[in-house]
Amino acid sequence: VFDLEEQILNWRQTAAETFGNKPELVDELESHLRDDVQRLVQSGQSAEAAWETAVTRLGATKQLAAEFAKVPPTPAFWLPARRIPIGVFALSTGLGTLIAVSDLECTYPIGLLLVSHIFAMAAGCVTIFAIGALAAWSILTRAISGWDALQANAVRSSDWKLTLAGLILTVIGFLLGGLWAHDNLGRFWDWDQREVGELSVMAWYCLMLLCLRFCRVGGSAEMVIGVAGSVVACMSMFGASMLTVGAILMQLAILGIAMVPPGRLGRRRALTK
Amino acid sequence: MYDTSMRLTKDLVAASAAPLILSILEEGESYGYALIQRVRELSDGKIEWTDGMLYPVLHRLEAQGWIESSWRTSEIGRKRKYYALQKQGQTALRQQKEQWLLVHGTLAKLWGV
Repeated sequence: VFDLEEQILNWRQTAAETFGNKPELVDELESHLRDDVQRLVQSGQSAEAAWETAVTRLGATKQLAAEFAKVPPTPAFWLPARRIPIGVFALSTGLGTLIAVSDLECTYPIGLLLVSHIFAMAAGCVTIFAIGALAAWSILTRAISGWDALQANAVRSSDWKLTLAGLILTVIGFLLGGLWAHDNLGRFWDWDQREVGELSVMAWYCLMLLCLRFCRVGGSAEMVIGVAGSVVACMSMFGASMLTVGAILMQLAILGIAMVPPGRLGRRRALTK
Repeated sequence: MYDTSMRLTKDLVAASAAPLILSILEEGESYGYALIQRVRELSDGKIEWTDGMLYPVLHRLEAQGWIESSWRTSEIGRKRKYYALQKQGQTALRQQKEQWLLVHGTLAKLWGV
């Protein structure tokens, strides 16, 4: 007795061996086979004949594998967007704890409002560093090996998500900070260093959003503003310290590389080999 | 008129695959099997793809950022991989249209059709 499910299982095993570790591809082709079998059976063929026809129409798996081998791989990113939120959360927790312990422990009682404010602000700043790292990576990659539309779009998409998430976190942190200040200091707002820093971070996020909306995809503006954000975040968190000076110098070096035409460094390296 | 048994050459089938896929996806998102059926229907069965060969083309278009795929449950309760046209794909389709129409117009003038 013909068993379609058994045939599909056997076909899957052969396909999995031929295509290697690509279960999603096998799933997609299996879905195609099922659609074809269903249609042929509806048109009056027996299940067995329909299966044979569908498999023949699909083509030999070895031939298909050879065609799939020609498909260019999607570029792997040094900072995959999916992992950034985990990094942002871990760093924010660490940074928030550090700020809470160093600055506030002796002065104010640590309550939920204060902890939430510190965490949200730290997450907002760490997100800027993530955007900055992505921009720095873009600048270096563009200077060494060139820059294509696929990479530009992937970075633009990650930047959108990170910028929106960062802005929302910063606004939440800003509002929570105001509430905490009102309860403990009797005011919502004061022009102290930390509050001005928070304002600068929000202003930078708004600038980045405008750039993402209106600037050319893959252009220098997005990368330069992305890198400059790290300086804003450093100033906001650490003030005019040596750490900030170091960050500024590093960003200036990266911005210098942004002036290099795409692929120039790679070609020069190839010529000197 | 055209010979009803006419089949396109392998090279022409390969060259026309991307504009055909992009044009069908411009009508709305779709999946591999439905794309093949649509081409068969539009060409009255004269454009025959080896079914499996469609998928490397789809994956290439996706790697180029022209289309995007997502797995969803279909109306019959089975999971299917759907493809949708992206902004870059729309731009590429516009360029492809211009090029194909240019070739078509030039040949039409030469052949007086």
